[in-house]
Amino acid sequence: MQKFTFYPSNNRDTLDTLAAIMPWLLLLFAYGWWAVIIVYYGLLDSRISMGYQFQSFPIVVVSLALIQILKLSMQKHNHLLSILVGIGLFVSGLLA
Amino acid sequence: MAVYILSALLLIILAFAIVQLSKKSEVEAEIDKLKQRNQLSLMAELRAAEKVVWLCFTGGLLLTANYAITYFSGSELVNIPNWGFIQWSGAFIGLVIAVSITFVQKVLYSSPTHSKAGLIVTTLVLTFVIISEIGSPIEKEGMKMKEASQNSAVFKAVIGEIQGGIDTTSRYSNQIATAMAEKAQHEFELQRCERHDSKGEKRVKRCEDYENRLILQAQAKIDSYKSSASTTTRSNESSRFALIQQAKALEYNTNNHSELVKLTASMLGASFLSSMMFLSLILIVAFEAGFHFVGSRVGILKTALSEMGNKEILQDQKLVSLKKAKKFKDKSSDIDLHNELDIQGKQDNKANPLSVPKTTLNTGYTSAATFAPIRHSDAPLGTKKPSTPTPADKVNKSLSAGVKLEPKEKHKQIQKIDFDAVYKHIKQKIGDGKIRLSITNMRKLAHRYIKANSALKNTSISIPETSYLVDKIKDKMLKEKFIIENPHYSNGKAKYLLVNNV
Repeated sequence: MQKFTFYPSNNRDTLDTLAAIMPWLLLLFAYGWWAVIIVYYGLLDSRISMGYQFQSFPIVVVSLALIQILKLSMQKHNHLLSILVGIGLFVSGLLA
Repeated sequence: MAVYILSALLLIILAFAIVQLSKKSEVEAEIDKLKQRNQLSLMAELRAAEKVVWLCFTGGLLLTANYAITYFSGSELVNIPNWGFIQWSGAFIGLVIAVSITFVQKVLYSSPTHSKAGLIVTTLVLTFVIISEIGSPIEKEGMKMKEASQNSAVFKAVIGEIQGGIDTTSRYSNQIATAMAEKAQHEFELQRCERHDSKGEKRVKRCEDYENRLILQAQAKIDSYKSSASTTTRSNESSRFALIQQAKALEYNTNNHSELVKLTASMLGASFLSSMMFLSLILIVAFEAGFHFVGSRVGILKTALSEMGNKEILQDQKLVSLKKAKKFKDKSSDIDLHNELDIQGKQDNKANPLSVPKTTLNTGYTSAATFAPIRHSDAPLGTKKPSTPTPADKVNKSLSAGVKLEPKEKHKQIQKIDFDAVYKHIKQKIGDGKIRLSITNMRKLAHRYIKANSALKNTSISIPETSYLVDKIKDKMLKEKFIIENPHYSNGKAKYLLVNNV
């Protein structure tokens, strides 16, 4: 497993432990958001007709790419990009 | 107004991110940092980043194509079953444009640094891409709103009312038709009154009076129904007009927008369309900044690996699978062995710079296929060479007795090569100073020579095969003391020196 940390530290006090698990929680939330909000409500919701459901497909792929970018930007400690991509992911769920 | 200012701000952030990510000094610093890392981990990172880039490419293509196809075909994608030749032609043009532009975008993003011209082209491509990519979510949101509006109970009730008005009109039409039929019957009977002639004129007159009266009654009914129908129609028309207006408003009921669009519209005091544009722009700016970040990461990793001697592998896209490399690593801890062999070679050189090292050397490859020929053994480092002959022993043995290629089974093509001819050619070029002495240059030269002169002219020779061949050429040069290892070798300096120049 790859190691994600906000701060490159090996200390295991409470703050560092939080800093170590927070990115994993964020990723878990991102995948949950993607699966439930984007894929289920955007693509599989039977209340919307099939043709219109298909229109959500590009957003589903884009949001999956955003999660991967989020993962990579967190690994590289690119905080600005992580925030931008996080907001983009949130909005994509509402637009899907 | 605020929504436009914020949109412009988002575009500025995107431009800033792109310029910042392609800053030459930072890119070079990152490349230097990467060059200190293990090649295998760089390869792994490159492969992971490439996967994300292709995912971004697919997402971007779908967004752009969705809009471009809709625009060029002139019809929504949900109407595909009803498309004719014109729509399909338009869709094809849209698809080709979308694929081309997205591909150009991927290539531009994969460049670690941008020249001024590169930045201008990126800006132009981004303009098209952003417009088309914004179009897609806006269309989607609009469709969602339309769908919700048209499925609402109120809208359906209004449509039912409009259709009910048509039924009322048709009821009067039926009554008029019945009265007219009645009138026609009595007119017919009036003509038949002559049949009473035999009973006298009085009887005929009575019949005519009777039928005329009934005809007048039928005519009165017809007039009455017509009048009623006309009144009802006028009343219906006005109420239908009101209902149609109501249906029109309900068909695109902006209350059915998603809550976020409504919130943005009310917060920024903007129209729903502007709010949708702004929200789509947030998504697209995040996506494009991320796409550029991953693309430039791929470019940086490729540059770093290329500068570490993997240029040909990267160019030919014939990377040996990482799984194989990992498997090999697990089997023999090859990377460490490789590094230690290098160290051992350097130590030998320190003792006697002109001595031919016992080890073969770093070709810059991380693949199992490339490492295979240079291995001495799988034994732990620091131990003596085992008594059983290894591939490297075989090479050394063959070099001493005149070169005999003993490639692995998969190196089938190499057996057809005239080793001496290739060796002579490379040696001559290096001796004449026509190429700079490096393994990469030797590999290129060998590849070109083989493709141009050997029996393999029309076939392909793989990178591991060329690498295997160049390893042997280099070993023979070392053996003949045509070249030596550079005792002062370090990062950025030549690993080998021509003996004539020493």
